[in-house]
Amino acid sequence: MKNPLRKRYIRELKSDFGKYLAIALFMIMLIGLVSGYLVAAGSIEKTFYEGWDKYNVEDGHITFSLEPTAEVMSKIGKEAGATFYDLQYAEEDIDDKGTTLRIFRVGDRNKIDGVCLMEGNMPKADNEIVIDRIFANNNSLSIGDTVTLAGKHITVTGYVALVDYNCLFENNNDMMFNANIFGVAVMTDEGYEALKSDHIFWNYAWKYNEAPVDEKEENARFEDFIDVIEEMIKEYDTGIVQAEVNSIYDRANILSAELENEFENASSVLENKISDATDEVVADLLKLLTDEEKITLYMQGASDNEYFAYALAKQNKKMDELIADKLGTSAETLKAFTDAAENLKDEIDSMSLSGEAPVISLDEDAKYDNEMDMNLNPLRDVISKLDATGLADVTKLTGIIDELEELSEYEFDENKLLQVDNLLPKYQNKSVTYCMDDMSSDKPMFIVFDYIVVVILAFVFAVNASSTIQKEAGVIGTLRASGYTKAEMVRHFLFMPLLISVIAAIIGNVLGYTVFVNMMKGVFYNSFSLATYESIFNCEAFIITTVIPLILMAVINLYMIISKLKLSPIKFLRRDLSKKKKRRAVLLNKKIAFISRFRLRILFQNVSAYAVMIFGIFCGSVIAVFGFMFGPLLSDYADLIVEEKICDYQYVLMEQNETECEGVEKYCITSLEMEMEGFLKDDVSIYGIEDNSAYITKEIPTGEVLISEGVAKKYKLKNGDRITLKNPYNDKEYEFIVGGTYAYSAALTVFMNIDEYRQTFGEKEDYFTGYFSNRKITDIDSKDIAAVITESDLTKVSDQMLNSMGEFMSLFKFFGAIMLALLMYLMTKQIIEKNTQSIAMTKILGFRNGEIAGLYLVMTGIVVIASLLLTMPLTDGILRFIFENYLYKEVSGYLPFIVSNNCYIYTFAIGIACFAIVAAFMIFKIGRIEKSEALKNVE
Amino acid sequence: MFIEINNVKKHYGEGDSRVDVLKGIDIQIEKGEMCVLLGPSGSGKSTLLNIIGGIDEADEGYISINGEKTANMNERGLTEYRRKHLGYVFQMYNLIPNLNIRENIEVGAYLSDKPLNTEELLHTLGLYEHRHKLPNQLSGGQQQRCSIGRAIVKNPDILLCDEPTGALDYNTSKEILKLLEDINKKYGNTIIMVTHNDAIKNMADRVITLRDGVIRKNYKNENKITAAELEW
Repeated sequence: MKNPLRKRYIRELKSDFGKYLAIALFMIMLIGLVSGYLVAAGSIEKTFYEGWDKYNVEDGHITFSLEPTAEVMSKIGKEAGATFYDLQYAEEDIDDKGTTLRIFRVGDRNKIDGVCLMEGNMPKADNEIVIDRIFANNNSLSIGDTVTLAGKHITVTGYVALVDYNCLFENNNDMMFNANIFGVAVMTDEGYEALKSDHIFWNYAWKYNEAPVDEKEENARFEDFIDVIEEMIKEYDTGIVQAEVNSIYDRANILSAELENEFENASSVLENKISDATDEVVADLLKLLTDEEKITLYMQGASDNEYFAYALAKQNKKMDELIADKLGTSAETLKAFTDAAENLKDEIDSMSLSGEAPVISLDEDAKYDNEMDMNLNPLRDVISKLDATGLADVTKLTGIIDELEELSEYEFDENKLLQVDNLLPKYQNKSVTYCMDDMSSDKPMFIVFDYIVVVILAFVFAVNASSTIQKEAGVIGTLRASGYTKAEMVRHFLFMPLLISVIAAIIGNVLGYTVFVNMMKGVFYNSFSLATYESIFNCEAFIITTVIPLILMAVINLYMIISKLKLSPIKFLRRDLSKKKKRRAVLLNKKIAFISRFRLRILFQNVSAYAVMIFGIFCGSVIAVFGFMFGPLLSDYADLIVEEKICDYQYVLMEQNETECEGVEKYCITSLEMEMEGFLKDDVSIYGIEDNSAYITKEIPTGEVLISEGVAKKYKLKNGDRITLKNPYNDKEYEFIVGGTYAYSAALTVFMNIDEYRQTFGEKEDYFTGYFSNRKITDIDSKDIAAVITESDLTKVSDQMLNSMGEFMSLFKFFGAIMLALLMYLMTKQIIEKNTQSIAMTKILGFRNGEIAGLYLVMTGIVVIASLLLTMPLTDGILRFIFENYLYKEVSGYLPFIVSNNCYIYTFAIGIACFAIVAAFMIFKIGRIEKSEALKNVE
Repeated sequence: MFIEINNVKKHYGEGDSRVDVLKGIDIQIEKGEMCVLLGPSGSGKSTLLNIIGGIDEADEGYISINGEKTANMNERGLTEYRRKHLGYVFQMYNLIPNLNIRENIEVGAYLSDKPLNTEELLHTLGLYEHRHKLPNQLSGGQQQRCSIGRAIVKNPDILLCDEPTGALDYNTSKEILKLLEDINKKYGNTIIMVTHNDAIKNMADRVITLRDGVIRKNYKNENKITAAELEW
């Protein structure tokens, strides 16, 4: 025979339908919501990682400054053990709105980083395009719309998600993504070509031929990959430079030959002119001799030279002066010419303007250092002097010298070199990994929320069971006296909470998998560009939302019911359920007004109900404040970040570049992992700071480090503590001694002396990573700057957190308010029902409904107000506790614990509003209590 | 002897507030006897009944039912003992408000491996036509009939009744007494009934009178009359 007591359950359910419905609905919503979240998150996670295989996600990608040859790509691939896929893209602004649309070709993506079509059709014609779903939504681009790209009209045919762009980071160094201004798109190969974009990026994705087994191996492979890339590119670039240098030397050789020819020509012309002038001078001189002088010289037997010398002597000028006169110049100029002529030859001979080009060896930075150090200035001087004589046309000579000088000053155009603009392995690619990182941080919050609410509901059931046991003490005593075992009675009273929990779990899970999952999916899909999703059964979600709540419900109720039913049957028969000796009634001063004393008696009578209500208000307040706090917290956090920022412009350089700008300061930075027992791994930024830094204003003790307040608070560290940070890729550990804290909230950070930094990490004495500056640095090429971190970049993190958490926080506010209302309703209802006979009696005595409501509800109202006020410090404390002991441990990163006073004001207002609604219900209920209730048998 | 009560003592409170409720009670009751415990309020009769029923403990002495001492039983044993051998009827009917009359009786039947036929019992109790009603739809007498039915349906060896007519009017009380008499005859249960109504002793096989925790009278009623004949 089945226990006939089971027949009570359905009747109990019917008789108190409102109460059970309210609890069940709340539980259904809770389980549905948490289940929906976990199923959505779990399914997305599974779909996400399966999508890596399905869409063949890249192992990384590399962007070159110009198109590499197929040969070089094949060579790199062979050396690196990877296969490269051409993922060239163009960047264009849609309709000149100031957006960046990164356009790929369909063809490329058939092999790697596949396209998931979310809606519409893939492009078929040249003028068709599919656009990332989120970017399209954010920019109100509908399927069928026509947009202008590179001056061409293109029709949107569908929305897509790209597996390598589930999070739309334009640049991996960006602190946060912005899907309003950056998106991705795909066109047909022909359409892409027809676009004729001026902004082409030579991007290649790679896939290792043998997949790495874990992240450590992936990192090691990537390190090798970098070496291969460097080597291959250096070889490739060396070839390019060598070819150009060879051609320069070839030209120089030609020019050298031309120079010699020109010189010889010029010399020849000059020599002829001088020779002619000399002949003329000699002739002229001889004409100056008289006949007598000629006879005398003849008689003396003079030679021709003696005739010439005699005539010259008569002129009182030197020969060269006479020649100069003849040539229309001075003797000095003529002397200069002859010297110049000699020197020019010597100079040309002395300069190595010909010969073999040197073998080029590019330095580490792939820059060509010109080795053709020709000093052409002496040549120029000579030619200049020659030119000054006006005796020779030096135009050609000058032209050759100019050209030679140009060659000697030749600098290789780096734009002709194959350089790497971007090299990113998958595991560092935020566009691929950020989504999962972000999603995992919300999970602990939901689990905490789930358990807190279930515990409260379990207490609600327990108090209800306790009240029923009290009410049915006589029946219980009789049944126990008749032979019903304690276990049978416990099972009986335990059944209802479990039944409601099971029903709520079933419906909650059904709704979780059907309704809430879509809601949660919407939240994720509003932020991330994820591929088509399919809900899958999530064992963890089932355990968290069903198994553990049922266990919590069973354990709490079991404990409460067992402790209540522990009494002997006779105690039940006597309705004496106090475990302690009967206490005397609390004496109340007669000076207290009767009504007040009456109310106090209600308080004493319902201590347990009020205790649960206070606990419920406390928990409801915690949940509501938790929901309210994040908006102001993130806003305050953003303010704090701005207030504590190191500088206005923090430059991260691709390579070490010096600057002439004033007020800048070098720094070093790297990232290590903090592994502490009980905490999730955290990335910690290690800064190397110069002595007497103008930006980090606190002195860093020698041999010690300053830690940011986030590190200190999260890990509860103090001066003198030792922290061990690890390089996750080579497992090398670094130990630091905490020498103080520094007010910096933007990230978990360790500040150390720059020299100690260089020593610790084995860097050169002049190594640095970037500059702190309060002004823009103008003399560093933007190509050499990896990132500039400004105030808006720092606050983007909090903005995005607010954006992604905003909808969840609204849910917390809603649940907090519902919980406050539910607890107030259930407990107030219980107090009213417990006193039904007394209320009926007071009615018989002539009390009006309003007066009775005043008696029973005012006390509850006072308790509600007092609870809302008095639990505020507790709420603050528990939230701090949750932050420090749960969220800090279960979530990576750091958020300071800041609760705005407004959060408490809002929560208080909601609490009062909830009670007003409950009180209205209860006034109605009191009005419906019949006077005859006072006459009924207690059974 | 079926029930043997030997030197049972019981007190409540300590020091100045100590009250010796039972001061050494010795009673022997035969199987099938209807025994009435009489006495004024505070005489210890309900306490004695509760000790016999195993829901209260004696300070000293023992109670033996069919040779089995209840003092030697732990809580589980006592529950099993009550389940197998005892039926309880109280002045307050203690019916389960959201079970109908039939179901309230079935609550008792559930405890027995060989319960009486509920339909037949409902007829015996005169409640058959009310079997689908809830307790609050019946009169006090009908509710008490139901509580007797709940106690008797498992066909216990002993039926303990604590002031079963205490809350009932004269006629109803007589009906209940008649019912108990019929049950005693029909099923042969040993009935121990606590009452302060002196007239009821006339229908008992054995009459025991208590005062201040001591047996004042204990005799076999040789002039037993039927419940219908009772007058008070």
